[in-house]
Amino acid sequence: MVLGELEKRVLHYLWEAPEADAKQAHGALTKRKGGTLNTIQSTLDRLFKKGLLTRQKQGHAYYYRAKLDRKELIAQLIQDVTSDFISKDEDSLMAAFTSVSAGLDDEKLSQLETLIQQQRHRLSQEDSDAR
Amino acid sequence: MLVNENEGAMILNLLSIALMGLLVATALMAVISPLTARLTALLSARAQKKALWLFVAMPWVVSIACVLIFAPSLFQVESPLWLDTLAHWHHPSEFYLDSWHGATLVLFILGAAYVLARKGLNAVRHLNTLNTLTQFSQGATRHWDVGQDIVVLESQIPSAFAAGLLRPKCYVTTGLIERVCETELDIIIDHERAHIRHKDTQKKLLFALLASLYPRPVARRLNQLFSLASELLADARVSQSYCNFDIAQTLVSAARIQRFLPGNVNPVLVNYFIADDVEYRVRALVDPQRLRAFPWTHCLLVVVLTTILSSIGVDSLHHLIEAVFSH
Repeated sequence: MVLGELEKRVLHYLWEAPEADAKQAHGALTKRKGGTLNTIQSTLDRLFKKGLLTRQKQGHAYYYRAKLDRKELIAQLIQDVTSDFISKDEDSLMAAFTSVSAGLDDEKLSQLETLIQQQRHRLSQEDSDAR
Repeated sequence: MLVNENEGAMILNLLSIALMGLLVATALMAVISPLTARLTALLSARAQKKALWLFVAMPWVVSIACVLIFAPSLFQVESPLWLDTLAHWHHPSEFYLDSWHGATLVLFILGAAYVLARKGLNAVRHLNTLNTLTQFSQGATRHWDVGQDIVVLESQIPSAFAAGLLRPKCYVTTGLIERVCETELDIIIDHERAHIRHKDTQKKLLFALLASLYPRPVARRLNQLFSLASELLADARVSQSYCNFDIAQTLVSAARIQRFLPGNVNPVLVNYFIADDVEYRVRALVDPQRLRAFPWTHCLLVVVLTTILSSIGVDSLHHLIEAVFSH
């Protein structure tokens, strides 16, 4: 998911303000850096189309809310960053590979832990025998 | 449309030879690719990486070698009879753009441009996402202070990875920090730092680009093997500071925690601490086998053999196709 600088600022703003229309967001976000109401309006619209905001019409204006909170969006971005470089069919094939790791059930992990303990024990025994 | 000698027919013929050499060598390497996993398993991690680089670069090396082999016949330089029998080009000064040669060249250029554009676009998206993650997590990074080169991501997903192309960084989630002990966290971070030191994120991208010449299942397997070799080398680096058993135990602990990670992940540009064959890595740490160094002689033999077979392949294919189509 690609987010522009203004989109990130709008999201930050909406995580703090419960909901806002374009005028309120424009007032809060463009005091320092400038920018037109139209730019904010289209940014809000883009974020809505990306599924990151919800909106409700009240009178003539849309009121926007963040659909995902910051932690939820970070979780989604972590998922994105780890699967960006593959197309869908490769993804399904990759699942077979990652399931080698994901398929390590508790029993298998316990076996590995036992192996680690055995080898650790064997090595320390060899060390004490050598002394 | 005929391109005569003065207008670069020879250069276009050379490109045609290079392309045919590339495709024939790719086909040959794809045929022997099922053996790669077995053969690389006999090698040390460093040697595995070298062998895999050679494997993905082989079609390009052979392609250049084919050009050199065909050059004497193209420039009508006197050459030994065996070389002329092995490879000769019977229309060195003619190149028809509307022939099968022209069509394959154009198709290849378009295909390569598509792959490069797709990977480039994905790289831009990837970097933008990393940048967004870093910006959204500034508070957590300041709060946890696990190292200046570490970005702490505020998420309950237990994860640690190295990512980025120009200035790669290590990323660790609060979900992982909260669930592991201090030593385990140090091991995980050292492992990710090793990926940065080895420039694994950039190398993975280059490797994936070269591997994309192969059919998708072969490319996927090669990427997996390269990824595993990178993980083994990063583990080896960490083992300079920590006991192998502690690293192995950390792997198992992280695997237990990461079983709760939703969905599957793909480690093409990302080096996950536990994404690759955990069991293989644990066994390599606790019961290291005596592994071989890079087999230079064998590899040289494979390069020579593939070059000879590819040259014969290019020559035969050329004659076979031109028995049907005009050049």
